[in-house]
Parts: sequence; C-alpha cells; structure tokens
Amino acid sequence: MVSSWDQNIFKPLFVVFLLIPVTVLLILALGTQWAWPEVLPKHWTLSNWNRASGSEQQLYAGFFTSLAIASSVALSATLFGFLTSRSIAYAKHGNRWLIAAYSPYVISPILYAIWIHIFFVRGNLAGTLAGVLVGQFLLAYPYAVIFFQGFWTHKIRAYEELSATLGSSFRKTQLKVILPMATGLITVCLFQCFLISWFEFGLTSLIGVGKIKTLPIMVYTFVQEANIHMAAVASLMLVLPIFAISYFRRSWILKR
Amino acid sequence: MLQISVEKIAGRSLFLLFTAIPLMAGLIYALLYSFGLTGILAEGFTLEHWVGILTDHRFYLSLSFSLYIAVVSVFISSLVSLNLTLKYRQMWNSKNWEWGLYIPLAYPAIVAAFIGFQLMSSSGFLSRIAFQLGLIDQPQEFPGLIQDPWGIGIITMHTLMAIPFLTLFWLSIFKKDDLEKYGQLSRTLGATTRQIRNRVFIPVLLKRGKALLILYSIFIAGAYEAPLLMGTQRPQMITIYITNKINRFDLGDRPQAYVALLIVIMIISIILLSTVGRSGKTRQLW
Repeated sequence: MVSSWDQNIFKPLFVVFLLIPVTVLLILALGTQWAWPEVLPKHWTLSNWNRASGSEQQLYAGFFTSLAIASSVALSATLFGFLTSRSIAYAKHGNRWLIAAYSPYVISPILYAIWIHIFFVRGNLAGTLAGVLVGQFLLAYPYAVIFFQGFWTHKIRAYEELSATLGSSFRKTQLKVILPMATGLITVCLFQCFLISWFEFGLTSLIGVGKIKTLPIMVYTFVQEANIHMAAVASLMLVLPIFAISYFRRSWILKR
Repeated sequence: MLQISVEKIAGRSLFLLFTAIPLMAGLIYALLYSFGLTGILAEGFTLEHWVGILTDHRFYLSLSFSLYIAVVSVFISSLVSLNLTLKYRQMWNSKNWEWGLYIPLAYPAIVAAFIGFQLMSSSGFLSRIAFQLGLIDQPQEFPGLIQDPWGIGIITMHTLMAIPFLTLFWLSIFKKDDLEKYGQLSRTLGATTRQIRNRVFIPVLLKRGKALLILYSIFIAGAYEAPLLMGTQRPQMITIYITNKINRFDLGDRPQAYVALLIVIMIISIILLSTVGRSGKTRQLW
C-alpha cells in the first residue's frame, strides 16, 4: 500500500507524463521560428494549419485518404472476422489455427509486408489504393478473428443449442439471437481495427510505395524533409480524433 | 446441420485464404528466391545467398542489437509497471486514472518516435532546457540520446510506450485473479507487506504474464518506426537491415534479404514454440 502523500506526488507527475507528448506537438504545430536555444518558438500562429490545406502539403487530403482506408479496412475486417471466427473458435485444435492469425503481428507487420510484397507487385497492386486496402485488411482481419475468440464461449454455444432445440434455423439463430449479443463487441472491434489501419505505417509505405499518402506516411515524409512544424500538424491530425473518440466512448476501450 | 457444415467450411476456407495462404505463399517464394530459383537475377540453385548472410557480421550485429533493445526495454518497463501496479492499485481503480493509462497507447509508433526525436535530439527540447539551466553551451555538448550506438532513444521510446500497456495488463490479472484476497490471507498468516509483494503478487503476475512478455519482446525486436527515425546505420535493428536490403537499387541484395527474413522467422518460431506455444497460452492472452 502507499501513503496518500506518496500518491499526491505521483498523480501530478503522471498527469505531466501524459501531457508532455501532446504539448510538444502543440508547440511545434502552433509555433514558427524556433531557433536553438529558445525553449519555445518566437511566434505563435495558425499558419501551419492553414498551410495544411495547401496544394503542396495536402494534409487534409491525407486525412480523408486515411479515414477512407481505415473505415473500409475496419468494416471489412470486422465483418469477415466475425463471420469466420466462429468456425475457428469451435475447431478441435483452435489454437493451431490461431497461429496463422498471430503470425503477422509476431513476425512484425513490416516483415510480413516484405513477405507478401511480391504478390502485390505481380498483381499490379503495389503503389495503388487497392493494394494498401488489401494489405491492411490482411493485417486487421487476423486481429478481428483473434478478438472474437473470446465471444464464442460455452454460454454462446448453449444459446445456439437452445435456439435450435426450439426450432430455429441456424441462420435465424445467428441473426436474431447471437448477433444482438455481439453488438457491443463488434463496435469495439470496429474501433480497434480502425486504429490498426489508421496508425499503420510500415506495410503502407512498402506496398503503397510512398504513393498512397496516408497521415502516418505524411508524418514520416515531413520529418525526412525536416519540416517539423508540418510533421506536428499531421501528428495531431492523427492523434486528436482518437483522443476525442476514446474519451467520449470510453466503454470501447475500458471494456477490454 | 448442412448449414452448419457449410458455415464451418466457408469460415475456415476464408480464414485460410486471408491468413495461412499468404503466409505459405510468401514462405515458398522467399525460399525459392533465397536459393536463386526465382527472381530477375536468378541463375539456378545456389547457396551463395545463404552463405552471404551467414557470414555477414552485420547480420549478427543487427540480430543482437534487436535482441538487446527488446530485452532492455521489456525488463525496464516490467519493473516500472509492476511497481506502478502494486503501489498505486487503489488509484487505478478510478475510471479516470485508468483511462489515463490508455492515453499513451493512442500515439502511433511513428508519432511517438517523432516526439521522442524532438525531445531528445541535440537540438530538441531537453537540450534547450539544458542550455537554459547552464548545463551546456552548444547543441553538440548534449549527450547523444538519438541515433546513438546504444539505442538509448529507441529503448526510451519503447519503454515509455510499454509501461502503460503492461500496467494495464498487470492490473487486469490482479483483478481477474483477485490477488488482493491472497494478500489478505497472507497477511492473516503473518506475512509482511514486502513479503506479500515479493513472494505472492510479483511471482503470480510474472507467471501469468510470461507469455505476453515474450511476445512483447518479439514485437519490440521487430519494431520499425522507432529505429527508422531514432536509430543509427550501425548497428541497425533487424527490420531496418532487411528493409534496406529489399529497397536497395542493387537487386543482387534481394535474395540476401529473403535469407535474413527466413532466419528471423525461424528464430521467432523456435522461441515461440519452446516458450509460449507448447503450453497453448496464445488464447489466454486475449
């Protein structure tokens, strides 16, 4: 146990720890003329944000590209993940099947991308939006399958059997009994698959060949160009929506 | 009954199509490429690329460096997160404080690496503060925390990202296994606070978290974004070593990249099979 004095010291320190990253990003995104050794920039301005929409930066276009990709990947991965997770969960050797699902994460997404890259080249998908969508789906789908393993419990099986005993068809049972029970988890899975895609960098850079400009790719490009102010704007565009969603929908996170 | 079989077959077929088939196809292609049996410059079966990698000291250096980064990051973050979990467990019961632990997880690795760079580089915030405090006069005098041979920046970033994640993990085990009751029982039997902590809580948490710690170490060893922004060219982490070989204009390096990839995957498989896989703990993690 810990004394209240100790806790009173730790709480503000923890808040500072949480605030440092976002403060760094805000300072860089709202400041200009930040020469060493000044701790803070000389001028504060919104011009970095105004430049974000310019034809040179195209950050807003990057935001909507990321949004479209992440939404499509989240929807498709959650849908297929839910539909197929049942057959894996009830398989005799479910854990062996799951090895294939864990693999992209265990061998690291970038190495997985190198592993499968050639098929995107041969299929003329490298450097295309479709290629990035397929690549990210191949990352998010296994996650969704693993995610739903926890749903298909003995209790759910008992409901299925009870429903069948009462004369319901398999399809009706799934649609009218099981699906409503899974709604909460499906929402959480949608959010988490969205995050996988929204944050994805390595696979997108390799398969997209830098042509598909999602926000993480733009952050890296700006850093490469030593354009730290625009990199900070792009970073905030990546994290602030997630902060907002996760704050107002805390249940999506705290549930797991 | 027929509908259930159709669902089972369709479900498993789709699962294989989206997971195992790309993996197996990639494995076959990588093997063929590594033995010179496919690819633009392929000239028939050869062991040259395998020999090339197995005798390349930079490959071993990259492997060792990745392992070092992973072990040090996971070791430090485990120590700190266990301490935070056990010392402040009352505080984490509050939903607001618990939510605070999720905030660092909302940063993608590329953004976290960028922030780390801006904080720790020789012209970053810490160096500027050091100047204001009179500790340094020039940016070059600031100790090299970024792109340094010891990977301090990479370790710091991964450690800070791992601490909240592991704290949440320990807390979930603490609650799920109701360890507080074991603590009360031990106290009734005369154990001191330190004994309860060191002989009851920590052993139980570490035993339950062993699989996750191994997986997390592999995850860090395979990280890409932090070493890309904060790492050096020598030593490189293994992901950078392989991607550099794949992305080079010299196509002659590609087969070696596939060899390195195959060896890394073999090592990961051996580690997993000998630790996590045998006890079938994969499902417990989620």
